[in-house]
Amino acid sequence: MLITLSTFIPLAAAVLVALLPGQARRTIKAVSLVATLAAFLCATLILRDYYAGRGETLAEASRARVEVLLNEAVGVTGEAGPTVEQRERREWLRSLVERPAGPEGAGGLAADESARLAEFKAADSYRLAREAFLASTVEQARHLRFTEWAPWIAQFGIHYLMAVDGLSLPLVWLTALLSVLCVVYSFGVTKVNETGTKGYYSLFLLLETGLIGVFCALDFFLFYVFWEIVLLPMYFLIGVWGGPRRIYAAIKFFIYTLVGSVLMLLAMLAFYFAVEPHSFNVIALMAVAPHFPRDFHKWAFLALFFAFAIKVPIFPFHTWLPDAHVEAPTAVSAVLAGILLKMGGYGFFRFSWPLCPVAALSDTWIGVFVVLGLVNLIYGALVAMAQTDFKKLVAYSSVSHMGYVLLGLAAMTPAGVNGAALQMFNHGVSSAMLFFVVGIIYDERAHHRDLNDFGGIFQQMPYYTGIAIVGFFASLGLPGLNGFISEVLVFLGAYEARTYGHWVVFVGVTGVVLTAAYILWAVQRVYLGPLQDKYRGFADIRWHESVTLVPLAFLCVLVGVWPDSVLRGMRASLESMISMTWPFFGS
Amino acid sequence: MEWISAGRFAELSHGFPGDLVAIAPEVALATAACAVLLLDLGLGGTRGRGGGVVAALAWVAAVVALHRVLGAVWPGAPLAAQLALDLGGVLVFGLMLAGAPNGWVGLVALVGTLYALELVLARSGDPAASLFRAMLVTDRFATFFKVVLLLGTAATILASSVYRPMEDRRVGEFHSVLLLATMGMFLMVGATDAVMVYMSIELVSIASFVLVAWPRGDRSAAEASLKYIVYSAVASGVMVYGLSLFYGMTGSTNLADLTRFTTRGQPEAGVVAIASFLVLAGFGYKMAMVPFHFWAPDVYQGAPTPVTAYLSVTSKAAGVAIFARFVHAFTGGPSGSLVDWTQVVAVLAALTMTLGNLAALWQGNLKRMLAYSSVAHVGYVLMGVAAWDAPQGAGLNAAAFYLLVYFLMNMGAFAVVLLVADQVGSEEVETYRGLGSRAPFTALAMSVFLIALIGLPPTAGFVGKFQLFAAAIDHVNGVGRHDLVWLAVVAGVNTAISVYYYMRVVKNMWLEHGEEGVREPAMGPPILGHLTVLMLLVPVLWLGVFFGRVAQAARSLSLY
Repeated sequence: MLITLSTFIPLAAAVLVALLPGQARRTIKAVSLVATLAAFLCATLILRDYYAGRGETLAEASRARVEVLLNEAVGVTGEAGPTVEQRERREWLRSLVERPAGPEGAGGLAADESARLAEFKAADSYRLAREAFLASTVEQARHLRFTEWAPWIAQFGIHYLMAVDGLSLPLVWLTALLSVLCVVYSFGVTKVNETGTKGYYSLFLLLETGLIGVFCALDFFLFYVFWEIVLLPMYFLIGVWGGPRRIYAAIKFFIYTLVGSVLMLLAMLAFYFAVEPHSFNVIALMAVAPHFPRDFHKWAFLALFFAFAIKVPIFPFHTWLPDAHVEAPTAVSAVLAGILLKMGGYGFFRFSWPLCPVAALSDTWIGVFVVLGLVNLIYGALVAMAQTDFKKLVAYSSVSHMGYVLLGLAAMTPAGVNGAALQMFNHGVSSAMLFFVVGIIYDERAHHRDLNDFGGIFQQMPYYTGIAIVGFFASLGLPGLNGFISEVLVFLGAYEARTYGHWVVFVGVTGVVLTAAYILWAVQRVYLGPLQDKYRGFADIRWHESVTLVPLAFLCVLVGVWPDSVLRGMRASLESMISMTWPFFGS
Repeated sequence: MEWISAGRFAELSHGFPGDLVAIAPEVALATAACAVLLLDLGLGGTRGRGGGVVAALAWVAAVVALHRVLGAVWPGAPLAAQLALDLGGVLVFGLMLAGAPNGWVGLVALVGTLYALELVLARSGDPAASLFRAMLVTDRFATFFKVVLLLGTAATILASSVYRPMEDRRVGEFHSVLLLATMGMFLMVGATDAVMVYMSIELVSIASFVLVAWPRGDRSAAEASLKYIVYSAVASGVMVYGLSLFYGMTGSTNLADLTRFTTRGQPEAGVVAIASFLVLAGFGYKMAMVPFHFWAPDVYQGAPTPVTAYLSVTSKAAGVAIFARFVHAFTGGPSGSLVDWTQVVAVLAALTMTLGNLAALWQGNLKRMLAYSSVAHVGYVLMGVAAWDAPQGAGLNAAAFYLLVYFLMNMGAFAVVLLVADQVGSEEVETYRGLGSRAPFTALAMSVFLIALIGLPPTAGFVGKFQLFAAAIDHVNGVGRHDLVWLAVVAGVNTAISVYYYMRVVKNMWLEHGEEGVREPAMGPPILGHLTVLMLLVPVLWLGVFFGRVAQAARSLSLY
C-alpha cells in the first residue's frame, strides 16, 4: 500500500494541480509541497519498515499466491476442505506448476498435460501459478518486500507488480526526498513563478510518479510504461522552462532516450515470448533466463545495454547529458542528475545482469564495461576540467562519477557491487546538491555561470559557501563524506576482481586525482580570491535555499561517517544478485 | 413455357433472403444515402417547416440509434450509463442542428451510420457465413473492420458539421456520397471474389474522387482529385490485369478456388507470383503503401480536412483488410508459393514506414505531414499483416487493433487541424506556435494525439504498436526461425525518427511563443468541435491503460 501511495500521490496531485486555475499560484505550490511531502513520508515509512525486516517478501507473497491459485483452480473455497477429487487434481496441478525451471523455458507442457489442463479449465490458473512459483524460487525475491500485486491486463499476462529491495529502496527514498527539495527550491525561481506555474508543478509531480514507479515496478510492461512516463514531463520541463538552447536540448534528450527505450521494448517482448507460458514478471524471468540459449542472451543484452547505457550515460552515448543538464532549470537538473541517470544504472543491476548473466559475465562485455567505465571516469573528468561554464562542469562530473558504477558492477565482487550501488545513491545526493549550489548563484543572483568571472563569493555569502563546500568535497571523495566510501569500495572491489586485472585500479585512480583537480580549481575560482564589486549586493542563502541544501549536506556527512545506514539494506539484495549471476562467469 | 420447379427456384435463389438479412448494414447505409439525397433535394436550402420537422425527427432518431448502439455493445448497461449517453446524444446532436442551417442533413446521415453500427454489432456473434455464392463473407474479421469504418464515418460526419467551408453547399450530396463510400468499404472488407473486389474498390474510389473535389472552385482540391483519378485508373487497371491472369489460370473468380490453386504447388508458380504482384498494386494504392503512395500527400493536402481524415482512416482500413485476405489466399499453405510472402510484405512494410517517416520530416504543412505519417503508419500495420500467421493469429489481430487505434488518434489530429485552420486560416506547422497558451485544450489534445501517433505510453498508440511488435517478434517461419525480428527493429528505429516531426508540432505549441508583442485572441470555443476532439481523446487515453477488453475483441478475428 505504501509503495502505491508514494507512487500515485504525486500523480493525483498532478491532476489536481492541472485542474486548478493558473492564477492560484499559492494553492498550486501548497498542493505540490504537500503531495511530495506525503510521498516522502510514505517512502520513509517503507525505509523504516524495511530496515526493521517487516513487510511480506516477494517470495512469500508468491508462494501464498500459488496456493490461492491452485485452490481456485480446483474450486476449493474457504471453509469446506477439498474433496478427495479436488485434492488429487490440485496435487496434479501442483506437480505441473512446481516443476523446476528447465532448458525448455518455464516448463513447456506435454500435449496430454495441456489437454488435461484445458479439460479442467485451469490453463489461466496454471499460467499465473507457474509465474508466481518461478518468482518464488529466485533468490532476489527473498529480499524484495512490500509486494503489491494486482491483475492489470489479464489477457496479456500484465500485472501491477511492485516491490522494493535494498537496491531500489535508497533510490526511491532519494527520489521522494529530492522531489520535496526541488519543489521548495522552485518556490524562489522567478521564471517558474512568472510563466506556467501550473504546468511546471503538474509536470514535476508527474515526473515523480514515473521515477518512483520505475524503481518499484517488477512487471516488465509496467516498468516500461513508467520508464516512458518519465520522458514526456522531462521534455517539457527542459523545453519550456530551460535556458537559451532549451529546445535543442529537449528534443535531443527525447530522441536519444527513445531510441534506447524502443530497443528495450524489443528485448522485453523477446523475453516475454521466450518463456512458456509467456510472462512479464521480471523475477519469474530471472528463474528461467539462465536456461535461454547463448545467442538469446547476447542479443537481449545488447538491446538492454543501449537502453540503459544511453540513460547512464556511458561514453559515447553521453552527448545529450551536458546539453540537457545545462539547459534544464535548476530543480530539473537536480532530478536529472540525481535520479534519471540512476535509471540506467538500476537497469543494469535489476535487468541486464540477472536476465542475461551469460552475456553480462562474458569476457567481451566485462571488457566493454571496464573500458567504457574508465573512459567515462577519466574522459569525463578531463572534459569537466576544461569547462568554463559552472553548470557544465557539474554535468560532466556526472559522466565521470558514473564511471565508478560501471567499474564496480563489472568487478562482480561484493565490495565492488555494493560500492557501485552506493555510488549511485551518493552521486544522487551530491550531484543534485551541486546543481542546487550552481542554481542558487545563477538563477536569482549572478545570472551567468562563467567560472572565470566569479571570485570571492565566500566573503559575500559565507553560509552558502560553507554548505556548498560540503557538496564539492563529497563529490571529490574526501574521507568523512559519502563519496569517499563508495569510491573506496569500488576500488577495493576492483582490486579483488577476478573479472579483470589490477591495472584497472591503477588507471582508475588517476580519475580520483583529476576529480580533485577540477573540483578544487572550480571552488577556488568561484569562492576564493578577491571579491568583485558586482557581487557585493548578493544576499546570503535564503530560507528555501537552505531547506534544499542542508538535508543533502547532512546526508553527505551521515553516509560518510555511517555508511552502514545505506549499505546494510543493500548488502543482501546485491549479494543475491552476485550469487545468481556469478556461476556464469567464463561460461 | 416451362415452369421453374420449386426446387429449381430454391437453387437459383440460393439463400437470397437470408443473405439479404446478413447484409442489412450495407442496405441500411445505402438507404440512408438515398434518404439524405432525397430529403436534401426536397427540402434543401430552405429552413422551412419541412426542414424543421425532419430535423426534429432526425434528432430523436439519432438519440434512439445511439441508445441502441449502447445496448448492442453493452447489454444490461446500468441506467446511469444509458441516461448519460442519451443526454450526451441530445446535446451533441442538438449542437449539430444548431450549428448550421443544414445541420439536419448530417444528422440524417449519422442516423444511418449509427443504425448500421447497431446492426453490425448485433450480428457480431453470428457464425461466419459466405453470401451470394461466395461473393462476400461475413466473419469476425470483417465485422471488426466494419465497426472501425462506421466509427470513422460517424466521426467524419461530426467533423464536417463544424467544417465551415462545407456549410450550405450541397451537404446532402456530400453525406450521400460519404455513406456510399462507406458501403463500398463494407463490401471491400468482406469481398471474396475477384469481381466483388474490383467493384467494391471502384465504388470506393469513385466516391472518394467526388469527396476530394468537394469544394467547388478550389483549384488544389480539383488537382488533388484529378491526381487521385489518374493514379487510381492505373492501379485498378494493373489490378484487373492480375485478376484476369488468375481467372485464366483457375477458371474461377473465387478467392477460395484461388487459394486451392496456389497451395497445390503449381508449375505456373511464376505466373501466380506475377499476378499476385499485379493485384498487390491495386491494394497498395488503396492503402497508400510504398511504392504506390505518391498520390497520398497531394490528395490529403488538397482535400477538405474532414475528407482527408476520412480517407486516411477508413480507406486505409478497408485496403488493409482486403490485402490481408489476399495475402492469406496467396500464401495458403507452407508449400504452395514461389514467393516468401511474409518477407515480401515485411520488406514492403519496412520501405513504407521508412520512406513515409523520412518524407514527413521535411513537411511544413501539417496536413501533408500527417499524410506522410499515415503512409508510415500503413508500414506499421503491414508489420501485422506480414506476421499474419504468428501464433494465435496475433499478426492480423494486432493490425486490426492498430487500425482502430489509428482511427482514434489520426482522426483526432485532423479534427484539431480543422479547428485550428478554422480559427487561424492556415495549416502550416508554424502557425501552431504558442498555441498552448492561446488554446490550451486544443493544444493539449493535439499533444496527446501526436504522442499516441509516436506510440508512447500511456496512450492507445503505444498499446497498438506494442501488439504489432509482439506479433513480429513472435512470428516463426517454416523452419522455426524468428524471421521478422529485423522488421521490429526497423519499426523501432522508425519510431525514433518519427519523434522528430511529431514533436516539432508539440514544440511549436508549447515551447515556442507566438510573434513578439502580438497576442492572438484566445480561440473561441466551437463547442461541437471541442466535443468531437474530446470524444476521440478519451478513448485514446483510456485504451492506453485499460485495453484488455478491446484487445480481446480484436483477438479472435478469424478469416472465413
